[in-house]
Amino acid sequence: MAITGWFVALVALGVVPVVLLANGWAYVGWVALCLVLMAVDAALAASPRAAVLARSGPDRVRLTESVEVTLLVTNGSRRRLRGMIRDAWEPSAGATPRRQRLDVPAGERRAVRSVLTPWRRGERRAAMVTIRAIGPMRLAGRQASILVPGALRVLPEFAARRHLPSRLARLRELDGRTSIMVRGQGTEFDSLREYVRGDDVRSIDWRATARRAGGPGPAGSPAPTLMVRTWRPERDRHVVVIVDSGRTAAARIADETRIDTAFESTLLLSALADRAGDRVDVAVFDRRVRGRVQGARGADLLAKLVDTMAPIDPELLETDWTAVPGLVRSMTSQRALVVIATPLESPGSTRGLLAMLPQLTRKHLVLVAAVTDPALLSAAADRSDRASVYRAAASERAMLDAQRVAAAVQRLGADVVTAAPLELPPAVADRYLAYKAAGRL
Amino acid sequence: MTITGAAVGADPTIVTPTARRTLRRWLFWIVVAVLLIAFAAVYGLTSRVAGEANSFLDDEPAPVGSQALVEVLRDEGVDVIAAETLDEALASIDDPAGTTLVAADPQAVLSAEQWERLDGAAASLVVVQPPALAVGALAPTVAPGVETVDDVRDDAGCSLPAAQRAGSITADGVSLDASAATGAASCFEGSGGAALVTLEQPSGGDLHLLGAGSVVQNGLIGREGNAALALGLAGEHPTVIWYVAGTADIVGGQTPLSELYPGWVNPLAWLALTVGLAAALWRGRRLGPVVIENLPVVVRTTETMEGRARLYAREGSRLRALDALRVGTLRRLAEGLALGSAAGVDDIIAAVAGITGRTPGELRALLLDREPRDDGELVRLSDALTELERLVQRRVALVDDARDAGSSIPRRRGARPADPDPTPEPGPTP
Repeated sequence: MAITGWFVALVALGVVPVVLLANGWAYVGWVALCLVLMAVDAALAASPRAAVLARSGPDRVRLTESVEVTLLVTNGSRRRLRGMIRDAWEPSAGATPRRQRLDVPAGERRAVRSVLTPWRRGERRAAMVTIRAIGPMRLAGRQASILVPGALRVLPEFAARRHLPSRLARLRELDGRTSIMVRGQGTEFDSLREYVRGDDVRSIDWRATARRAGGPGPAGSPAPTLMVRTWRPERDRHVVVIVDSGRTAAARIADETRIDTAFESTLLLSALADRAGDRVDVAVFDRRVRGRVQGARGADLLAKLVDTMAPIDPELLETDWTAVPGLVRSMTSQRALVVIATPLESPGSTRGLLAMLPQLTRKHLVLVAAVTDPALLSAAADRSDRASVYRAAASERAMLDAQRVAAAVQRLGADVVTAAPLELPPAVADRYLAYKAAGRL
Repeated sequence: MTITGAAVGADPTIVTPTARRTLRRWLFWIVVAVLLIAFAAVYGLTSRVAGEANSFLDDEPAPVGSQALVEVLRDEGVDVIAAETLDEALASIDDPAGTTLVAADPQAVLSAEQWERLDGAAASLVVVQPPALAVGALAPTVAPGVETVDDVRDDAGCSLPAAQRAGSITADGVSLDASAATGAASCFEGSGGAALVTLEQPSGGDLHLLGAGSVVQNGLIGREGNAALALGLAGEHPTVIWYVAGTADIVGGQTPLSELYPGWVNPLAWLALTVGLAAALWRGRRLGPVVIENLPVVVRTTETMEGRARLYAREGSRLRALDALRVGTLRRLAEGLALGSAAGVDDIIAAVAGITGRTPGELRALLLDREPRDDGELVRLSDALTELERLVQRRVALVDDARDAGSSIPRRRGARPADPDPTPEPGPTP
């Protein structure tokens, strides 16, 4: 049951009889007339309960992108269904418009379209559909909320993908597909080809050149075609990424939670490593494995990764680092690059990580990717008054703590990459390329 | 949202309950509300609130009313006519010679002119607890008296038969001073004056000014000789006009307030109220319930830092705060001067002294030794640290610029490029 603004106007129109008749009974009679009209109009409205609803639309969208969903309304009653409809999604699904006009003749079907622009990662659900059917006199109507299940998986934004082309170009340089390639440690023989100008003369393969020329010829014979060896970096290495989804990952830095930054870094690194021909396995872990992607390659890898990451939010738990070596063992048996995405804050909160690291560094190459807080830097630079001097002192102290932890991690044989949220993914990718170039994988 | 067992047979996907289910769910409260309204209506009709009791009214059972006296008079065969307005009281008098007019004005609404209209209207006029205006209009020679409370007077002091019979009364009300009046009988004299003054009306007839209003009130009429006095005064004649002045007697109040504005004003006010209610229902009906969503926890990273800063400030840990700032400055200086992380404080001081030209002692005091005595000094030292950092940055940048600018010019005699470490070598350059 609902009334409209027209009903209110109708009641207000009672001014005319009340003033003309100047009588209390005029008021009573008018209100009674309005109530009767309201009841009749509500009874004449189509029943919203008889509507048949169906949803259609994509079930996946990347964060910051919009998607149009369609709701098909079939009028099951014998009256014209006219009024308002609201497709109620969770607030962070960003549905617009929130309410729409609806006009479905008896027995027919109409599509109601709304655009979803989610502003939060995860699984967004549609709660219900509410229909308010207004009567022919537009005074009153009937209303009902109907559960129509619907869900939209909002995938991580992967904003770091804009760094991918430049890193892939660097990878191709390493790969020997461009001419300025250097032979070095960690490369393997790829193929022989003819020398072109600009190639490193050190990579000329004299034996192959001689073979090609077909034996020693007279001195006046034309110069033999020089052959060079091409090299490419080692392939089929293993990259294991462990994303910490514990208590410390819930912290928000510069409008992005730490776990989101870790996801961005993981996605960029995975895309890059996959193109480089390496195997990438990812696990999201706090006290249990929250998500795991293993053995996927190519386009399938990124799709699986974003799908796994989408619904994961940090838990308010202390991460159980003692279980991580076992987890890594279960993911790889050979030497691998193990990337741990976790904050390095204070000696106290990283004690578990520090105690566990030697077990990993003994066998693997370990890289710890940590987000730093730009707010600390700005607070340290602000010395305008007494309170901000104390704040600056506290943030200097926090930065010192983080440095001590990073130094401790490095002493234990692991590498550390620290950067602000937006810079961390490319920094991790660059470090990976540096390992690749140096043959440390 | 779950559907309760009452919805057996209904479509489980429809969240909104049907009108019948809503009615059933609210039935208990509707019944309770109806019962309460009925009880309140019945109670309001059968009882009067004590705070609104009307003094001296003929049908008022409260202690301040006079229902007891009126009932006894009627039982004795006296014809008691209750009047609500002055005009009504005067119109009710058929036989002035056989009528007692009892008039009271507890709210003092009557004017002197209205009191004068009572003059000579009946053979006996009893004014209960007369206000000053009544005394002035009917018996100008009597002085209006003072209030008396709970005062028993047992000496009639006059020849009035009713007073003689009563013997003693409780004199709650006002006392009157009739010492200046001629032909007036003062009964039950007390400290403030007489409780009852009897004299002639200006136009003829008896005038009893009964200052002791408690004599006719239900609460005290049974005490002392109150009943005898009241019955004696009021039951003198076969007819009694019982008149208690009210708001209807106010001068100019002859036309009720409701006649001053048009008849549609009240219904219009009700209509406005109804429109407001309808508008509230219109705007207040929401299109479906609010959708709730579980949001993830968000932790601010700077909380630890802010907390530590407040701790420093509250405890006045100036040296600790300054040391943290110094460590940060030293680290940045070492980085800026490319000294490496292994460089000690002395190395850094020497390097900075070389590039800025400050004495090592001065730098050592700033970077190590001085202890701030108050917050002002802490702020000054912090400023000095940032200034030093900036100075070193500028100098390093100048050196770099100079080096960059000079790089295009071929160096003489194959000189080595300048050492990136700007630390001046001790001793004369070879």
